[in-house]
Amino acid sequence: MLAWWEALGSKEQAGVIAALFGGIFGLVGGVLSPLLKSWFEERISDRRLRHERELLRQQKVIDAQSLMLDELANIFWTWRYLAMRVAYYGCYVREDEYKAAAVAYKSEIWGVLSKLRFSTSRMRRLFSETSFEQLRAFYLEVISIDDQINAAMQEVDPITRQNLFNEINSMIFDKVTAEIDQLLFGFAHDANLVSVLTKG
Amino acid sequence: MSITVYVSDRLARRTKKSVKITVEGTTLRDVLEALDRKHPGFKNDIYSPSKEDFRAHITVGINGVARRHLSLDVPLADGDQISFVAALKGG
Repeated sequence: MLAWWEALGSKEQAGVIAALFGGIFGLVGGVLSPLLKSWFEERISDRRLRHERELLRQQKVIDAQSLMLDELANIFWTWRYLAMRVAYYGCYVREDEYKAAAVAYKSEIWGVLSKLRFSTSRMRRLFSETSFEQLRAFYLEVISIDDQINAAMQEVDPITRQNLFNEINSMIFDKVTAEIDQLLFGFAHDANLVSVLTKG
Repeated sequence: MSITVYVSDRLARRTKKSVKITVEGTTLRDVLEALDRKHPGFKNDIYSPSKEDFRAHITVGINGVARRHLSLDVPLADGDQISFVAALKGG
């Protein structure tokens, strides 16, 4: 092999080298370059697809969070007015309104509580652990108020019953109403769904 | 020492519609106990023993000034006027 190479003249060597380079460039330009181009394009396309899929996934999460906040607000206020109605009329001597409110409360409270507890579980996968804990604490507070309402309903002394309802009425109107607003705003903030105008 | 107590209409259900009651005492605790002796159940209507505070819907006034989270050991003077008002909120 070496002898053959040495036997060639310098012009011939240059020709062979040129032919080799020509072959290499030809190979790179004609075969490798399209292959590399195709490989890069495929990678860019994959990356874009993954990015688009992630954007789509994030949009679905945002939509679900937004929908859940609306549903949660609806559950909160449905419960609040259900409890407020029975507590309000429970303060009065007018038995008819109180009885109608008590019947409505008893027939609807289980449905409202189950919706609230279901939302609490869903909160864990759509919002932060802190929001989940806050909603769970509020659920327990609602259960406690339900106990107080039931105790007031079962009170046989009408004056004591009216006073118990009066206390519940005041607590829901002031403390609980403010808590609901604060919770809903906090959850929206947690999910970055608060308008920039309110963040200022 | 003589203390004059005024109660709102809602609370007067317990006091047989009396809205002005005179009792003897030197502290808010004495006044509540005296009212409860005259009208059993009155103390429980306005004061929560478990929370050791007046119930959420009750506003206590001493000589016309509304007070919150009052201790029952607040000293009173002869002729002081105490008011208990129950608020009802709707909507």
